[in-house]
Amino acid sequence: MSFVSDERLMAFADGELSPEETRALEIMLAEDLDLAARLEPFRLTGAPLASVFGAALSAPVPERLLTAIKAHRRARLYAGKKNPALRSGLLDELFGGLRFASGLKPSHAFALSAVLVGSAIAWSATQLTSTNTDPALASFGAGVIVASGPLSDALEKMQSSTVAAAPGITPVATFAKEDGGYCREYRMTTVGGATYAGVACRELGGPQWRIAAHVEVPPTKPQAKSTYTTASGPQTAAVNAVVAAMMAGSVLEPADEVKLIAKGWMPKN
Amino acid sequence: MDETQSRMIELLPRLRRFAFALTGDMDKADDLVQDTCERALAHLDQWKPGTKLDSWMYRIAQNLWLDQHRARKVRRDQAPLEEAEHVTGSDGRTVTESRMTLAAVNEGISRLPPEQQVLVAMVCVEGLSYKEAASILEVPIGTVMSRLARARQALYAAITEGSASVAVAALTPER
Repeated sequence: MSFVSDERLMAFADGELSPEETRALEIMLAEDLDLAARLEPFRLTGAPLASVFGAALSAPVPERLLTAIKAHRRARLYAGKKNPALRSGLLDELFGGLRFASGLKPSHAFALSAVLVGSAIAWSATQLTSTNTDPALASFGAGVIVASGPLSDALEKMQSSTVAAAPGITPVATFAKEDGGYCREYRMTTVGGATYAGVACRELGGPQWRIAAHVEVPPTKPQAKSTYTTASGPQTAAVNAVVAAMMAGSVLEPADEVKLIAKGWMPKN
Repeated sequence: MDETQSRMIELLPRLRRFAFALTGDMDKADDLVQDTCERALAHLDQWKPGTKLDSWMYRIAQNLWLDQHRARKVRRDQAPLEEAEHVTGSDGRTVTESRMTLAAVNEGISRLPPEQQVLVAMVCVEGLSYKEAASILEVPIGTVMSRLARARQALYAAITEGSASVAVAALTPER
């Protein structure tokens, strides 16, 4: 009787043999109990094993997974690396209020954009600090939105923290971009309690933090988290998608972040 | 939503089962599937239209999972141990299959090297052919078969060594 390898027995169990080979092996198995015993591990780890995980097939798909896919169009627009026309469309969608209100004072622009867009950046620092100084948190030009004032300062100098300042701006994580440079995910809370999540990126040696995504986060009870986790919920899926799209490697360690802040975001030497 | 996104949504149940087999936990599985979808959508330009979308997504999922595994040494949680059924029938198959609880299978899979865990999830759970698995993992088909055969023999041994030892393993705290 010829020797049957484990691989061939396994292929038999998985239905990967030709009809001729299958018939030949069936005859051998009927006569050889040892061979049949060797087949059992492959039989058991076939369909019976699959059935253990079968519940995942029929369970309803969670909304967050559907959102992750459906929200993609927006997210790609936010990143807008490859298609300026789409990005321009996005700016209308996301920051249309500002463009519409470009002749108005920043605080008016904020109010308008919030009404028109529902998820626009808090343009006025008064929303954060209630002081009379009224620096804009972002400026807009040539289709690019750039952090300014307190937002720029926070991105430039603050270490990431998992405890968000309220009201205020808190970077929550820093990561290297795939094409060089760095991005920081941040949270922003206004005096009124509205919270925003966003991502701003700085090219290698570049002078400014460009805002890649900025969305309003619906109010929820904040949960104490000891480690960095991405924002959750459909509204922040876009932010997460931008992070996923741009991120190279993992979130930076605090020590590396301190070094980069000290060096003005110029890596190495 | 374009056609690719619709097809991704159709693939979700299978991706979830694949991720469930890898992580042993449905919540972790959904995290992995979400990461996979986001990564896939962000890198859609790397997908060659005309090639199989499901193969490409399995590849992304297993890459992400292997990365996590290496970075954090994630270990699948033990599912709550179910009462072992002591079937005393004469049919050996019935006795063995009664040990195929999620807890026992999870424990068995977690003892395999990560690359073998991926193969088990792809071929045994997802029913991919050796050829498809070899193509996704970019290894020769002979390598797939020899690794998979070893993995399944080890898994079988772990499952059939008895519910008692599984219980002990499940109750032993991790380091």
